[in-house]
This record gives sequence, structure tokens and C-alpha cells, in this order.
Amino acid sequence: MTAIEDNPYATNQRYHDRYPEMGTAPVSTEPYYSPEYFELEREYIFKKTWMNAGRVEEIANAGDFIVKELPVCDTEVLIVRDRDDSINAFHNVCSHRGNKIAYDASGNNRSFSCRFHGWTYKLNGELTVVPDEENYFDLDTSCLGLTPVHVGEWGGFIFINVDPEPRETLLEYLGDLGAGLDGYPFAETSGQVFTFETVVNANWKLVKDAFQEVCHTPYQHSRSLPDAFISDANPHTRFIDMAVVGYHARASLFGNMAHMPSAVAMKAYGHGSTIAGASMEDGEAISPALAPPLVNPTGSGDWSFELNVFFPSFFLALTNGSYFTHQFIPLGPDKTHWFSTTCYPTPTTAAQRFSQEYSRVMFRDIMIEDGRQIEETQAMLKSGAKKEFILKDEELFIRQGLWQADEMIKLHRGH
Amino acid sequence: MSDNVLPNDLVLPAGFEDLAPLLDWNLPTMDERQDCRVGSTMEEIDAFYQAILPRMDDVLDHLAGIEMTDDMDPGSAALLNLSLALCEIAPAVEQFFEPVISYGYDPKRFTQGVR
Repeated sequence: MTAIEDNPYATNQRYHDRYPEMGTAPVSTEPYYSPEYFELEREYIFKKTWMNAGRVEEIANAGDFIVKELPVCDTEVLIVRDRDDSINAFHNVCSHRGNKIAYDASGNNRSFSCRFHGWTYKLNGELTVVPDEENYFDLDTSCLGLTPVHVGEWGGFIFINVDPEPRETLLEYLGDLGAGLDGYPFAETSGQVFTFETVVNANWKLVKDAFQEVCHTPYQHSRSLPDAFISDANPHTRFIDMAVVGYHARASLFGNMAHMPSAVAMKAYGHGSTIAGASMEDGEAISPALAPPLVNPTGSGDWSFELNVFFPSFFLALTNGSYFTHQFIPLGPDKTHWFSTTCYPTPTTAAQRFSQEYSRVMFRDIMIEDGRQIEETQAMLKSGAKKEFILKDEELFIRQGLWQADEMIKLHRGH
Repeated sequence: MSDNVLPNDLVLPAGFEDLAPLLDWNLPTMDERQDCRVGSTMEEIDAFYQAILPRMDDVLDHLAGIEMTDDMDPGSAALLNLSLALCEIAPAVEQFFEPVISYGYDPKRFTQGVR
């Protein structure tokens, strides 16, 4: 055997061989701009699947609520912590004449009272107050509660599904990927959450695709991440491992252990977690023995982080001691609400807070590099000059995302 | 009075008086720190970086002994804010060599918050 054959990053293995149903041909760019395709996605994907809508920490106490705007589903969803600690979700609409009943993005309410005519609902959605009730006709308040939305929780993430009759439970939908990540210390690493939001002029899949591979990093991120995912042994930023799991996709990312941190990165490494360094002050946020089965499943010594892409558009990237998320909610065929978080343990000392800020700033600056490309690509798609994207093996997730969208539309549409 | 006493009577912790000239960077939010980065010349940013970096081991030794609470003493809070400002400008100095990332997305289009 030659050294090349011993090097897993130099072999020409083909992940695509495992998914012959997806083919290897160039993919059409039409789903990235077609209004007709977008309407299919709206009806048969976003109105039918489980979508992340927040974290349990956002509604820690009874009466705490958040409102998730989902124009792609033609609704917004009120998610509220009940007195019995359960989580309820409703369409944010009054049973009387359709006004909203929650008016802020988040807050704490003892009940929800409509500003239009004062109809009032308990945290479980029951209608309790109807002013001048006697003046209505045959009013049965017991069946005039808020309209529920299916809600579930996994790992402290709240998911909703606006389909009145979801085909699957949340856990069925998350499937083997959710199960394989069970045990990651999400509660412990969600103490300090930084958020980033923007409306980007691009199709939601184009935004998503920007984060579905790392082979763009030596070029697009030549300044911010010049050698994070590349080394002499891995000259083409290959993944350690990648796989399609049910509707979803996961990969273990290679990290260049010879990467020399900058002067400030070195200071940050010394006091907590960073995205690239992924080390905790105490060395171990997750003991390897306790790590969930799908965190670095091959046990690679080159592991930097675990990328999980939950279909349709929720990214969950796990390091040893912190994690980050992206979510891409379509606003139209070429407009997307891009929402990201970087999440860490609650800092106990001011030095840990410093360390987290370094990671937070780098994360944002890297997104600044990505955002420009995303909008430029969308703008040029309109030229019609390129009808196809050419994908290599390590761009499997881009193909899988497009394939899965087609499959889910077929499944829910019936053809 | 000496330079380490600021107009608002903020006093840096003992041993850090030399950092008083940097207190223009004593900014409590990411938005303010980013505005300062974007509004500064590379020379101004580099001057801040060069002045604080050699002091960071001492600053972090101090901050490692400070509990992360809302009622942190103002001097330590100022040291923390200077450290956070270093995080904000570090990529400009170490990676991009410019305050604003050229060929990048408009940073003001990101709403950045804490949850």
C-alpha cells in the first residue's frame, strides 16, 4: 500500500455511490428562482414538516411566550409555557374575528387577551372571557379556544408543524439523526446565546448551500479561515465522514490540528470555547466516553465539529463545548430570513465572556463573507446564463437537499 | 488628577491605570463596538490592538477572578469591555487587514443580539 492509499483524505472514495437514487448529474438551477417551485415548497414542505421554532430556555417560566413568524406557512405561531410546564402552540389568531392575540415577539402573560374585543384565552388556549357573552348567538366557548399547532421538543429545541395532521411525530421525523445526537449537553451549552438575523436577497436553498460544504473555505474564506479545514494530509478540505440520515444529513468536519491560532485566538482559547478551537476551559465538555453516537462517529483524531442539516433548513453544528445554528425561513423565491445563533455555557467569569466574544465576532465576520456571495449568486441566476450547477462528490448535501425537496413535494402532493 | 480618573469618575482596577487612554473603546454592546471598528481607521484600530495585546495576560488574569454578573464593579466592567473590543477588532488586524471586510455583506444588515 502506498501512503496515498493510507490517507483517508487522499483517496477518491465516492459518497455518492451510497445514494444511487440521487444520481450524479448536474442539477437544475430552476428550484432556486422559480415562483412555481416555491409555491410547491410552501404547500408541500414548509406547511407539512417539523421546523425549529426556538429553545426551551426562551420560555422557561409559566406564561413565557415567543411568536414565530412563518409567512411561508401563511401564519405566525404563538408558543407558550403552560402552568403545568408543558409547551403549547397556537396560530396567533382570535376565535372571534381573527385579530392577533399576542402582539410582541416574546414576553410573559397570565393570559392572552384580544385587543379588538377583549376575548381572553388561558395559556392552554381555552377561551375564558367573552365580554357581553349574552349578546352572541348559541355561543359554546368550550369549542372556541385558540387553534392548536403541533409542537414537540427534542434536546431542548422546540419544533412546530403547522400541518393539522402531521404524517410523523417529531421524533419520527428527526429519526436516527435525532437519536444519534441524544445526550449532547444542549442545556449546559445554551446558557449564553448570541443571535444574528438578516433578510438576504436569495432563495432559501442557496443560503443553505453556502453552509453545506467546506470546499469553499480556502477561497471564499481565504482570509478568515485560510487553514482551518485544510492541511498537507487533507489538501482538498475533505470531510472526515458524511452521510444522509433519513431526511437529513450529517458530516464530521476535519480540523487542521497544525493550524496556528492568531494572538487573540490564543488568548481566547485559554479561557473557553471557540468555534475553531472547540476546547473548553476544563478541557472536556463532553467526555469522549459519553459523546452521543453521531458526534465524531468515526472517532477521528482530526475532528473539529459535527455538522447536522435537518431538512428543510435547520443547521445544528456541534463542537466540544459549544454549538451554533442556522435557520433559513423563506420569505419568497428570492428572499430569506436567515437566523443564526452561537451558543455557549453561561460564563461564570468575565474571562470566559471574553473568550465567547472572540468566537461570536469570528462567526459573524465569516457570515459577512458568505452573505455577499449568496446575493451575488442569486442575482446572476436571473441572467439565465447557467441552467445547471455542477456538483462534486463532497457537495453531496446540496444534491441531497434538492433531491429531498423533490421527494417531499411528491410525497405530500401524492405525485 | 491623573489620567486614570475619567470624567465619569470611572477608575480602572489597580495596576491597569495605563489602559486609561484606551477607554474610548469601553463600549458595552457589540453594536457599539462594531460601529467603533467600522468608523475607525486601520491606524487607530492597530494602535488599540498594539496597546492592549501585551496587557491581555494580566487583564485576563484579573477577569478570570471576576464573577460574570450584572453588578460587576465598573472598573472590571471597563476592562471586560476593552477585551470585548479587542475581540471585535482582532479579525480586522489579524485576518482582514482592514476595518470593513471588502467583498463582504453589509455588516449593518445583521441584527445582532443576546438571548
